[in-house]
Amino acid sequence: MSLAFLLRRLIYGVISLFILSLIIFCCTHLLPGDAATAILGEQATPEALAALREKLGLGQPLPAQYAAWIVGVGRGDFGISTTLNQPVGAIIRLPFAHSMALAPVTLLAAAAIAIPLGVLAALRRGRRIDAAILAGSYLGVSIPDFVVAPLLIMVFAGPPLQLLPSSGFVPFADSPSGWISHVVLPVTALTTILMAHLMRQTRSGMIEVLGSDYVRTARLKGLPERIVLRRHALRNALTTTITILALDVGYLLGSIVIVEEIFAYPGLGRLVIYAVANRDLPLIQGTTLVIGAVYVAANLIADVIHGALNPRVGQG
Amino acid sequence: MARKPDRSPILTRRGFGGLVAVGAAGFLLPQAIIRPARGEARAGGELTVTLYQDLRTLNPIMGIFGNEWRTTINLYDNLTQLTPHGGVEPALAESYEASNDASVWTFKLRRGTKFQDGASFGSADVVATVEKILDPKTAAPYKAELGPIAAVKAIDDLTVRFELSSPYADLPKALASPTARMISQQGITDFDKLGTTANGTGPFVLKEFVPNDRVVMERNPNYFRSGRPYLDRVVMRVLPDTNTQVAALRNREVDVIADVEADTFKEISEIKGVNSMQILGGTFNNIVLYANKPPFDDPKVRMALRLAMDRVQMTAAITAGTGAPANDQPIAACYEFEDKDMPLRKQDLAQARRLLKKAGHGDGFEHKLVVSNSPASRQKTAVVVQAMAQQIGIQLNIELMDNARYGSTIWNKGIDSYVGNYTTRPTEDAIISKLYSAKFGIDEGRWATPEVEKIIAEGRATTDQAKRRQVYVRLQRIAADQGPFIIPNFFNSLAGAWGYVNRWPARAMVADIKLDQTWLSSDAPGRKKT
Repeated sequence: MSLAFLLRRLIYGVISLFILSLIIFCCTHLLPGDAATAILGEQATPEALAALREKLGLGQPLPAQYAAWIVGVGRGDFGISTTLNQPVGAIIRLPFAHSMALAPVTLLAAAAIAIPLGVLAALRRGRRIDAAILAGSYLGVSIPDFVVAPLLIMVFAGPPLQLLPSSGFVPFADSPSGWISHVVLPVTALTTILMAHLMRQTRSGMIEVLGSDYVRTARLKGLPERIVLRRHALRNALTTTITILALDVGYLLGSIVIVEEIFAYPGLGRLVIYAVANRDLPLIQGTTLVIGAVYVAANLIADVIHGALNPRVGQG
Repeated sequence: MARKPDRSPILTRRGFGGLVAVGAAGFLLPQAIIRPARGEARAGGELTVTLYQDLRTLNPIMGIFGNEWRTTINLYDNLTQLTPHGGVEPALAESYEASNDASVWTFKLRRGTKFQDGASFGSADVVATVEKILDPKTAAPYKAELGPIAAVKAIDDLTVRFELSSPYADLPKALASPTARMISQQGITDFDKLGTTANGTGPFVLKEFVPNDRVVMERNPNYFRSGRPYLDRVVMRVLPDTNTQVAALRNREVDVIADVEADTFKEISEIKGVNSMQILGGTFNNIVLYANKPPFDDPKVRMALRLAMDRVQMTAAITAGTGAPANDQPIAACYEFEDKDMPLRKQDLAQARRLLKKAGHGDGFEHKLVVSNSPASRQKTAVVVQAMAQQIGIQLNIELMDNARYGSTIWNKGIDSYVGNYTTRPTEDAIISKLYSAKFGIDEGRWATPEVEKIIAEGRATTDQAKRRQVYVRLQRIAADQGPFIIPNFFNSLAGAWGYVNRWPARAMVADIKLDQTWLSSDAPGRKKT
């Protein structure tokens, strides 16, 4: 893998983030309702609204507002949240850490369960076990997260089981067991959805590879099936799976918004909902940019792994 | 420490079943019963309270949400405070008196009170706080509720004089409102920090604040009411989903739900060991019928729509049995000057159709009604009003809208009809001036007649209680018969707490929860940090 290849990917990532920030900026301005009305509520007098708009700089032309913001970002300053009156960077730090605790656990859990099952289904294609795995994944794909999460609360946090807390968060440093008990349900909800998706993709990737010429050649050479699967089929199928896993990071980040809200988990997702509901422009910009950056980073890592597994990719 | 039994008018689940009275119009009205505290007050323990949505700032002057008020009332004090029955008593003030025409008020302050940083509380702090609220640059959202204060002056260290631009008899009550918590001079200087920090005189000291997630407070050992508070620690947790809230209460992850929705109240009251409390409240949704625009500029059309409403049925549907029917005016039973003799308007479809015909709408008409998605009760109100209006040929077309968009494009813009939402206020005048006066409020229905403006001004200037009652009764009658709103019902204020929580301050103003007298029985669960 060449350095030029990596650099080019990095530059693409930064350009994507820039375009993302522009789109988010424009979309937020298309939303009716502004930060001043969100802050002052239904009790606001027109004079109070005008005074606050001025204070927040909402009266300036849009390009000027955007330019001021993007220049700040260049210096690492994401601006001041209009509703919370604190630097956006400081507000995002902790929720980001909390969400980043959920995401890798979910990805690992989903990969650990879904990839073997997907491979198994592909190998037993058309048999009963394949049908069962497929049916399970259909179920997982079609039940949305906002149904899975309350269901989990009802079953595991509600009576009669009452095994786990329904919501909230405990820092790991305060109580490791408390942390685990609060993370189990959100991770389960996220994994259920992601797993189904990943399983289906692994299965179809594997089936495609198993039907390919080089697998047929390997078998004709008389290699043992174990070697054929491990060295030829799985390795190639994995490259697709990794790409899918990276794309699924985006899917995961979307689900996190909903799941965190339902479990009152103080992460980035809840912060996004708060920011949008309150038309807190700097906070919307900051949170979406961070989410975008995570997605870009995940794809960059996938590219690297991809390149390592398949030397043809990293060449030019 | 022995104390008298709790005499706040809390309705428990048990009381609600047995003790009901038939109201004037045949509707079952909950009757207040006494719920004694279990034994003597006991110091110590941690209380976890869950709140529903929106806790953004700890700045008392900039707060607009119930949860913000619920928090600041425990960190700060006001000059005065409301009693459980809607009256007012001194708090940081020791006493107060008005000039004969109620246009100059003098407040004597309590001696020896300290802010949590050790600074003494005195008249300079009162002046700094009030002037900050009045400063137009502050853009304080609830400034108008303080009344017509023209100037505030420190006479000596412990005496403050309020000079008003017009007489205002409600000033003591107005100063008990959430906006008017007393902040130190230093706090006012560092105004921008008040959103996340607190240095009040209140019963609790701020330990941690994560916006929209949690507030942790600990006992203020130097609280001016000696012996209080009883609790060592109070945690307020925002849970944005009502199902999660109920599950958390059931699991004893939280001890109290501070503001229960009508729909979940029944579920909570069925949990064994949980006290479900309801207090007659003054929160309402008002359908705004602009009186300066067709078709509702014709009083006959407004009256026709009123007569189409079956208020008893509507109240049952909208509040799930946790509300009281209303007469299209905003003064509920929790206010001092409610017109108790006003009969509930009965549905009269024949008369309604006659009025419509007279107004030239014999075939009915279509009309747009905008509804915001929050709080959820607005949508219910809209649908139920729509069904009632249909019976006389008025077709209301409901348009659902995101709350932020509604706030900036529909509310009080004078264009489309919509469903407004108001919580219980400290005084009759606060809600009446706001809704009906162009001079002191927003005249939401574009209806303020000279007669109504005159009555409102008279109410504000009258200090004699009996005379004030007459004034407000007159206004309630006029608003009910001619006003620009449909107000089908009031919502009770609802809370749920485990039995080991004693003296939870259930109030008509749901946000008015000072926890300085609340205590936990010995069977309260010990809890690890959550």
